[in-house]
Amino acid sequence: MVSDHLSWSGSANNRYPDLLPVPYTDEALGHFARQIGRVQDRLKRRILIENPSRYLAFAHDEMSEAQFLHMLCDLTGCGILLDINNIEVSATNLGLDAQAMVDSIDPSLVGEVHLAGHAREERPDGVFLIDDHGSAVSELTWSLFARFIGQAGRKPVLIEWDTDVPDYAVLLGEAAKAEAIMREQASFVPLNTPSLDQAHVCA
Amino acid sequence: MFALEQVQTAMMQALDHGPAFLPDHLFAGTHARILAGMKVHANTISHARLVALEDTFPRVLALLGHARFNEHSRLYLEQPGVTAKTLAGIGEAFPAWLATSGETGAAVDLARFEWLWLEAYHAEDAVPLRLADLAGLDEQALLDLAIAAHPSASIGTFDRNVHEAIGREVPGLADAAAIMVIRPDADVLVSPANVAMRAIFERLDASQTIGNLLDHFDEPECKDRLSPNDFMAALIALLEAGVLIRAKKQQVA
Repeated sequence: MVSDHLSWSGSANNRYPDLLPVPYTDEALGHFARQIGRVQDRLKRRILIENPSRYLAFAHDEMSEAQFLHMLCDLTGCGILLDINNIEVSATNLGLDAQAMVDSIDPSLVGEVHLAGHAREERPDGVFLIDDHGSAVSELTWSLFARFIGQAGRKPVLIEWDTDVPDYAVLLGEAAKAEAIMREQASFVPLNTPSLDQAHVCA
Repeated sequence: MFALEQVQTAMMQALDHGPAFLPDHLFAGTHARILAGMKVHANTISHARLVALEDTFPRVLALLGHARFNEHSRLYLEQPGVTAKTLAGIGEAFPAWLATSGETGAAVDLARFEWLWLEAYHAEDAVPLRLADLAGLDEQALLDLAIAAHPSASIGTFDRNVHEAIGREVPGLADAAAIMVIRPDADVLVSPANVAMRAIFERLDASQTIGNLLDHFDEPECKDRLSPNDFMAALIALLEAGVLIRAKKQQVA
């Protein structure tokens, strides 16, 4: 599985080691479609594009994130890596409806799901979430995951926890929780599912 | 409405110089939320660069202490061109920065050593020429064999404090004339090198045949003159360390 984020990280002359936000415009769509096409042509395989954690929304966005991702898939044949923690982070920070964001993603395009924890800042103007992969998956993300799996069936799942990494048993507990949700929520198993035990934790 | 290039330029300027460089109406939301969002990105970027330097120079960090290392790092990152590098390459000019900042030779050379280690780690793979590869060659074929330095290899001299510090982990390094860093396979190896090994290695900036090298070191005016026996002993030591590769004929100088 090869994937990258829907983001940018610099120019020819400077690099910014972060996942910077992309305006959801026709111009950006054309640019990303060309870049994804180049990567897929070079690798001779389909790649997945991951929805980013967003802290900023552009005033002149022309479409939603889901529309942008779906059009990228239409134009290039790529798939989606759905990070459900990123959905919670983006929705909270930008005042969007997390459940509606999950529901707007076409499950057939999703090749993998990411789950993670985030840091929480209480600010005078509301809660601000930071995607730091440094804590357990939140209850809201678990419920969004269950909702998505209920619609999509089983998917490969990766739980990201790479700062303040806890005991291995805690990581295994997170993986077991993801597996339990998939057993409970997935009423069907897609025919091409390679393994029943698809929840993994990454530290 | 902003073109993609304008968006990127404005964000990069704001990340480099502060939020005053953000044009009005670029982002949706209140000023406070926009500042909070930009702050998250700025902090992530700054943290990643500082951690990359700490990861590149762990021994220098231990030698200088966190406060002094951090002070150097922050000033270094403001130097022109530094942040144009990838995180893996961001420390390239850090040893020179420490030197111009008045740090000790030990700190500067320790940084040089750690940078060479990282360069070896990231160097392209190449199959080392081994002694066994030469087993079937007759004398003329051996002399005509063109060799080059392995892309990951370096042999350098360092401040004695570096030899002693690394020598606590690598036998024979404390008293060695030079330190050899090489990644012939998966792992970066650090080992001692003598003067003859270093002299031969320095001639391999361009590929050479073994015959040309032998002739060079046998010339009376050669400042690093080696007897044929000393030359062969050093060549064998380089081969055993994986420092040499077979060069293509057209590359031979």
